[in-house]
Amino acid sequence: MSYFLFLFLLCFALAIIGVASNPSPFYGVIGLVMAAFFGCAVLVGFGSSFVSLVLFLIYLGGMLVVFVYSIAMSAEAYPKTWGDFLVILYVFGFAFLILVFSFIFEVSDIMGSLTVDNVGLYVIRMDFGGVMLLYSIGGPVLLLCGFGLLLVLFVVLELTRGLARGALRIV
Amino acid sequence: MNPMILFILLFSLAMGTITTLSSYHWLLAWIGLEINTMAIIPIITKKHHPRATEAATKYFLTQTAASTLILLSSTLNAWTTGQWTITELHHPLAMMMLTLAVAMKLGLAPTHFWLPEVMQGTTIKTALLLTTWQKIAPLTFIYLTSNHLSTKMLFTLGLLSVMLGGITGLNQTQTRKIMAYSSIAHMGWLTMILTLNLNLMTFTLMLYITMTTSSFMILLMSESKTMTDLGLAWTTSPTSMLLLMLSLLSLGGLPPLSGFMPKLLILKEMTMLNMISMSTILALSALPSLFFYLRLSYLMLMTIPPTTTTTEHKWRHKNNTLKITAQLFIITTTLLPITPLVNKIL
Amino acid sequence: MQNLLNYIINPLMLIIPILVAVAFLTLLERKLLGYMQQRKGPNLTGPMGLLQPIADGVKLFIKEPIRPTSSSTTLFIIMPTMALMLALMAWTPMPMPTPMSDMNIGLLFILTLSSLTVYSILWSGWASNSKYALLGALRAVAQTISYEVTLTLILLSTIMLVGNFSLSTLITTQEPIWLAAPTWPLMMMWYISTLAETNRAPFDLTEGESELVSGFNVEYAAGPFALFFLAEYTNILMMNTLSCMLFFNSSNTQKEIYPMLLMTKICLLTIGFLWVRASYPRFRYDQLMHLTWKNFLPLTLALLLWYISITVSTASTPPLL
Repeated sequence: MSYFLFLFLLCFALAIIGVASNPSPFYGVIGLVMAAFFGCAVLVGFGSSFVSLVLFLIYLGGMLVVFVYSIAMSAEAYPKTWGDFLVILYVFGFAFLILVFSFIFEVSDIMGSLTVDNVGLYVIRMDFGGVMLLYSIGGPVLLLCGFGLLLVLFVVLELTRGLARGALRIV
Repeated sequence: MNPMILFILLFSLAMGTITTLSSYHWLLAWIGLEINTMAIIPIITKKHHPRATEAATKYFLTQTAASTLILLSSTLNAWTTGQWTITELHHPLAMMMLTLAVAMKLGLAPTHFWLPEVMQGTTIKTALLLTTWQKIAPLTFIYLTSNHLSTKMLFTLGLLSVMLGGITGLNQTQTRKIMAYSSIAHMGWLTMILTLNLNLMTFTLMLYITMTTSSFMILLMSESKTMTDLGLAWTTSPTSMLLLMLSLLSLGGLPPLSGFMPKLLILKEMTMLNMISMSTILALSALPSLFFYLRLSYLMLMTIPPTTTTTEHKWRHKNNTLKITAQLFIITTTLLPITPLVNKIL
Repeated sequence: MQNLLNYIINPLMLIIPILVAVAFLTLLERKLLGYMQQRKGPNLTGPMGLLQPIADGVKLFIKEPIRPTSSSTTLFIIMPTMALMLALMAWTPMPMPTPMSDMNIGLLFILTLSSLTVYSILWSGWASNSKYALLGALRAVAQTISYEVTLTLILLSTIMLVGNFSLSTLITTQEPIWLAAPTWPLMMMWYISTLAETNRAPFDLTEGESELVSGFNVEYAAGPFALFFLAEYTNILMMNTLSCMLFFNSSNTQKEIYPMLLMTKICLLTIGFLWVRASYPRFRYDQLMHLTWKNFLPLTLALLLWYISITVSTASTPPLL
């Protein structure tokens, strides 16, 4: 499993670079989905399968809407992919930056201190306990989070209310 | 805006900051910060206008990036140290990320570009909120973690802010932008003193908020958006222009006014710690700021420009000065004599 | 040898029967539709047309696959593979009666995979770089994710009665009685939602022939198209298996009889799918959306609360694991 974990982390970093290197929005979203997928895979590797699956499920739906939105908003005949000169410059730049930062801040130490105690999707895990806490002593925080989400709903409604339905209102 | 929605937004705006202030746990503090950010966005776009929408978008992007960094740093810290207490920020990488994130939220020098843009895009009232109330929650983070923050990093950020806030503000003609640059410079002063004396930092913040609020009160009353507006504003209320001049000079830190006190105390604190060159640079960097405050004062009161007001009946309108302005001005202008007392308490 | 068995032979033993079943499902569909429309259907290749799927498969795979010049080639080629792979992966936690891997959150796993299949549709539609394909993909995505919401909510209500996300617990729960009995409104909504989720008639607006010319996969031909086709039918079988697991699970725990019973039930449900296709005209798009957002969603939400409260109030909450 630790080999898988290494592979997932590597792919995660690559996917993040894929987003950050600023290709066309479509490819950016593809990179984001990849990053979400591998991030969740890493979480599964660490044994919190429930949280990772729920996160993935929700994140997928969200990214789907983002992708649809981006293809509806911008149509390009020849979108910039990762192979284009400027983008690939960014790709290598970010890869270099990641290497440098991981040496400076000894990120490998942090990663090395992770434990892979329970493997995969199989055994009941700590994350269930975390969910349970949210409904027992973490109740007030749950309420606060709920209030925050309600507030976001209000904010979005207030921003999009009016003339141009569904979009940010101009004038 | 629907008054009910406005109420909910203002309530959340207050509650978010208070949640952050009163929390002991990273996640709770972060939730408060997010609620606070979310609540102010519709307030920024309250006057529906492309410029306001742009400002809200800029604000949202920077603030969200910064809070994500805060979340990342707290998670990293929790992962390596095994606890979520705010005051126990031990991991160096987490510490650095937090400092940068808070710098972005406050509008400290290398990450300050959003602040003038956002303030210029909103109404004067919202700009007041942005420069005062919105600073409290991010400052809480570096207040609580100040024991673990890197002094060098904070000094760099602070000194850069004071210098850039002064120099880049020189060329501005919009009052809101000038206030934004003054806010950047003052945040620089706060970060300078943060690791040296926490109580002095709090005191400086309180005084800064008071001075800014009182200046904004007059700007609000006279609806002065540019320097030209200020040049004509004496026709409606000469007295309030005098008060505005005093409070601006107080912001600049001229001696008989109370704005001199925090600057004096900060410089004293630094010289006591033998940071002579640093405090000299700091004191000199305050001069460009002082210049643009002075220029404002000069323009609005010390000359009477050869123009007459184009609005004939401006004086007929109802006076919309808030009642609290008087008290604010007393604090803004006449607090200097209690300096020995404050020095003793701090 | 152990590794070979675990990682290659075991999955193959799952995949090959599924693919064979899918192949004959296509034949079944054509035959059934034929007889329902008073004609014979394919009857020339092999005895009673039994070799027809093989002939179809050979034909599709020896044709030349087309790669449109304006498409994003990599994505265009990868997507059909991803579709079939996801469809096959969803079978991993299915206990028939022993699953290939016993996951404790198998239901969630299946749900995640089935929502991931939406991406294969969307990206293949987009990568084709054709307006027809893109529009078809968008319609498919809107439809699928809308019905996914109800599917998830229905699943949650059954989970309230079962106690956890594991599929093998479903068998244990249904020892006294099929869950179809206490949750029949859910079951009906589930069956209709699976119809919509797999883009079957009468909800097959993605590939409504007259309007959209085959929807998101217009630009596909030959091999890649065959992969999409296989993925679609694998998904149908998978969804029906899931319906059987959820609502008609066998009370008989004898391992020898269990697969037989399960397969019979899956066959019946699948024939239901075909029958629906033969009988009902296609929905209008707004009606399709209204059905899920205005009828199914409030109902399932209310029922979810009902099943939560009924288990609590009758002191019969299921044991956790």
